[in-house]
Amino acid sequence: MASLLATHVPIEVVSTKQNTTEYTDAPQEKASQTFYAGTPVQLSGGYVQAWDGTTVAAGIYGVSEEDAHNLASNGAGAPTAFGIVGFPGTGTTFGHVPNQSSAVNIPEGAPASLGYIDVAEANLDTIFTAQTDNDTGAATTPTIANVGTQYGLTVDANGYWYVDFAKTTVGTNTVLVMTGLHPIDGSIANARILFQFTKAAMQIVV
Amino acid sequence: MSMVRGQYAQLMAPGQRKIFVQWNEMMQRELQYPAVFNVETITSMYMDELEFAGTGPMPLKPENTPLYYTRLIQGGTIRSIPLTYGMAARSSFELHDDDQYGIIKQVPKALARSQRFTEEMVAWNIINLGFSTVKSIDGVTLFNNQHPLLGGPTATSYSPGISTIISAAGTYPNRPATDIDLSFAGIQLMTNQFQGMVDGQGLPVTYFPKSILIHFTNRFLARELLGSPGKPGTSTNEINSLLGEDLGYMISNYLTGTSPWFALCEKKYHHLKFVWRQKPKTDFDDDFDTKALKESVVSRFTAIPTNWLGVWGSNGP
Repeated sequence: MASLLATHVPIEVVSTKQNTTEYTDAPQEKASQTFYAGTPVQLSGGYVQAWDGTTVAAGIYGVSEEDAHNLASNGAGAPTAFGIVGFPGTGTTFGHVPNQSSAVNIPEGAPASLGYIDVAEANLDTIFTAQTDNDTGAATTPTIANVGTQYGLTVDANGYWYVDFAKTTVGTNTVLVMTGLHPIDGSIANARILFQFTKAAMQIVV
Repeated sequence: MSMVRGQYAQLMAPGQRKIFVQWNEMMQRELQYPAVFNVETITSMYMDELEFAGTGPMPLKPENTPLYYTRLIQGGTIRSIPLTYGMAARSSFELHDDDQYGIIKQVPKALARSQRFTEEMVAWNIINLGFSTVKSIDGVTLFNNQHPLLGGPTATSYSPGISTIISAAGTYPNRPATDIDLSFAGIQLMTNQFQGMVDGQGLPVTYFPKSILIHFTNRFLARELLGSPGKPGTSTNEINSLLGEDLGYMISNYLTGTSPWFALCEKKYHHLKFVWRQKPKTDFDDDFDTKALKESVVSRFTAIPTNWLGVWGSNGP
């Protein structure tokens, strides 16, 4: 089955209950991650990877605020105490350097890679927004009556995650609770909604 | 974390004859890294640097034959990314108000000392970790017995007199094949490696070491090696031939090992860099609800060896 829409807007932070800056962290990124900003993530052995989509109990650490860097190894380049970003400081290189097999060419403007990734933590304070859809392909129009209901998250074919109105079995496939309609979208088809992750789904509760 | 009056009861009443404030009265060492590192400032997220090798030896052109065409060699890129360092302290409104000695008001000075220490460690760790994780533009460790030359294996084949210096064709060392302690023989080996230095195409170039960089516990040995009129440790009449090398020594209090020792050319001839993105910035603010005072220092910087030329190191043994 597939969602009605082929692609969706990324999950973002919109506010916090305490009207402060959301709590973000920058743990080291796991190797070979290629997810996009707005992806729910989890810690695996201390490293950030894309959420597996199925672990609903203590399975979500937060939402990535940047694209993954496709690191060659776990946390590649991450500085140690009083250290520097490890060579070469980017995952984007081209060609080869003659007679220096370990040297690299870095194209101008190649994104820097520091070995870690910024994540907005899933906690009891942060409110996120994401688009709604239905994994069955059914039309989805959130209303005020849906506020307080728990839903799950599903990734579309393009790698973006949406609030899946087909996932409503609490404790089995839900990870968030709707806290309100989106102030711009309101009740339109596939509207964005405001939500918080459920305490049960949070990997680290602060 | 907040500092509150209960933690500093002695500051609440006058009567202390003397309060020894360590961060005011214990003199912090002057910054040492600026004497070694080239200090630069950038205004972007990162700094990329490139390297080029020139052309090799010019061949004979027999009569009426065409010229031999060659090309420059573009080397790799090295990127340095400044990181942010920062720390803050928060003191309650009441503590700030009731401190009879003005100690709490001097928190920013303590933070400044912390900042200076971190600056030093980040810089010196380029050298401390230069045998393991810190890499040069050629992708190998900063101190390496076989830095690959851009000209490849033939680059060292015609360089005069370096066959006993190099360990592999097409490479040049800035570290002994077998690490050696600071010693008469070690310094001789080091100066020979500088004397034989070639560029990426194998053409001899001039690099004179100016200073030996040592852990502070080695300063007595350094004085003997570089200051004795006769050959150190011998009872013969030989002169101390190291005197002719015009070497000085420099102590660092931030080298983590006692055995490693290093040699440096003048700053303008090597590529150890300390890169500022944001010099230390102090800030303070009151918390509206509690009236607590928050004070912080934040800065952004890094250090990098953009090239291995002009520096040398031995890790002990």
